[in-house]
Amino acid sequence: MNGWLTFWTWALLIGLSFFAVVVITVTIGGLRDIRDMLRSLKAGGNDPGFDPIVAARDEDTPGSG
Amino acid sequence: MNFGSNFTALDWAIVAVYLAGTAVVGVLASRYVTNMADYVVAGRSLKSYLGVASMIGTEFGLVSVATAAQLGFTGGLSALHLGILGLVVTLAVGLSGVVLVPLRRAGVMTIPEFYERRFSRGVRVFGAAVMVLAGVTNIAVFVPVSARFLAGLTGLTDPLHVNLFMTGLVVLVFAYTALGGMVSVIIADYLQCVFMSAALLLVCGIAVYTLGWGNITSTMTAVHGEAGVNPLHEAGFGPTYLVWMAVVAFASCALWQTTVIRACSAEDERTVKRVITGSAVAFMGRQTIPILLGVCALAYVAGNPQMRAYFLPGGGKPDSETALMALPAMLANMLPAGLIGLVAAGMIAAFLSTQDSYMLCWSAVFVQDVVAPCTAEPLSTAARLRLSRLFLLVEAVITVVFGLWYPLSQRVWDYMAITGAVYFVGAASVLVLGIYWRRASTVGAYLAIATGFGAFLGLDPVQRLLGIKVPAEQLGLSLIGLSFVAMFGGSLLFPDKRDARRPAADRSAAT
Repeated sequence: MNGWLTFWTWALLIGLSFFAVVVITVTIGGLRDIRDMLRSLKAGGNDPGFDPIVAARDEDTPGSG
Repeated sequence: MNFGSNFTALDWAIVAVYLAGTAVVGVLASRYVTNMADYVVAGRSLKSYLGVASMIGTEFGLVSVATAAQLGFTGGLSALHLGILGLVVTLAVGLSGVVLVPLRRAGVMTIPEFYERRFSRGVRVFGAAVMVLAGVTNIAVFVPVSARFLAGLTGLTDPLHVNLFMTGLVVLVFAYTALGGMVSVIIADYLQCVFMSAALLLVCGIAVYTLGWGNITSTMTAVHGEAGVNPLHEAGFGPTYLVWMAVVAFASCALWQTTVIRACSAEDERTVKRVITGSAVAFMGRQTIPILLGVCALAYVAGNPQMRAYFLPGGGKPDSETALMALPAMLANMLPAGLIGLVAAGMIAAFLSTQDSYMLCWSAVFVQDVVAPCTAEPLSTAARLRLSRLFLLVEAVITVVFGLWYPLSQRVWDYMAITGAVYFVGAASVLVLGIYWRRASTVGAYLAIATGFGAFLGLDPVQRLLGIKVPAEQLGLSLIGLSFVAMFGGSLLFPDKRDARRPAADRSAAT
């Protein structure tokens, strides 16, 4: 039982530390990504004027199902 | 049973400021949505850090906190196997890119879209209908579970006040999701990831410091014995449950539409891998942190005679339903005014970030993959947006109404796994074999998807109605096996005639 307790204690310590580091990293990097995403959307997305859902629907072969 | 709360007017003010900020984000984000691709996948402009933040926000919901804390309370530290499985399985999926990279390469936005390209329009509509049924049933417990948690945390005792508060939250989610679609969901998720993670890590530190690690572990082993630390112990979770949870972990990160929609929102295939690999920590954290808090709550209630009598009657094993209230009871009494408001805002953030993504996801699938393929004329973008917003409203009503009468008599985590299985049991074989096996056929896909309905037998009220008792993990694993048998058998017995003449669209995903 003590072996399992030691294992979970270390797993928690490492896991929570890792989680904290990732959250701090994405908090900083995410701000930059939000700015880029909004710029990209304002410019019309990765492919301006292309709506893949409508395009896929138009290209489909009807009655295949 | 109410044990009081340190929640004050200051805490309500903190919550109100946070909710107002979220509403503003939704209104501002709506200005960036001009077509359905912006609305559903944010114009495919999602980058790595924001993708990971959004994934943490979505997958780390209040319902995850409540259910994992329930597991920690009723199962002890051995429940942490869920966090380890989440980490390992998600890392494997992220590093290999299995399933998700081919889907992104195919340029689809939803899994049923892939079904049509690979099999037929009928499979797309059938698969999407099953997915929406499973998804809406799955999120139906989010509101009642979250309501209990927030009522315990804030000290709200009048059920009318609780219902009004939760209805207000659902209306807020509906409003900002309907306005800004994926753009507002991603930005709101980012804010919620930051807010909620900070709040939960802080609470972990305070709980362990206040209660003492030695006291926490000795109380847990006194209540649960060896099963509290050994996940393989038959009196606890056991090996079959662990295998089932590994399957659920794979489904969560590779098959579940809310994850897939983020992979499909990524700007390229490399970003897909980075987002999923980075999100492995989210899949670990969403279990690990609340399970630790659930174990802390066990130690806390054991040290309080009034709470001990309620949560651990006769010194025996904790009951699943009452265990849901143990963590909020601890937080409400342990944290000081001001801090408890920040934690409540973090918890509400967790509720919103999951509810928004799930509601958007199922409404998008319903419109794109159930309604649109059945219309004679192609639907315009405006019509799709209108329909999507209408279905969001329907979902909001269903989640509130369903939550009022469904009994939470089984562990909520098991309820979520089994309702999710209605969809992912079929999707596992249809996606995996559809991508990696050229002979997979339309009939095989229909049969495999249909096996998912068997998962409803795992729900506690259904089992009581039929007078049967089958453990959820045994049922789930059997159905997964059955779906692969159905897919192989159906494909070999009824191969697609078009397989030989229509390789291009299919193989774009299959390479």
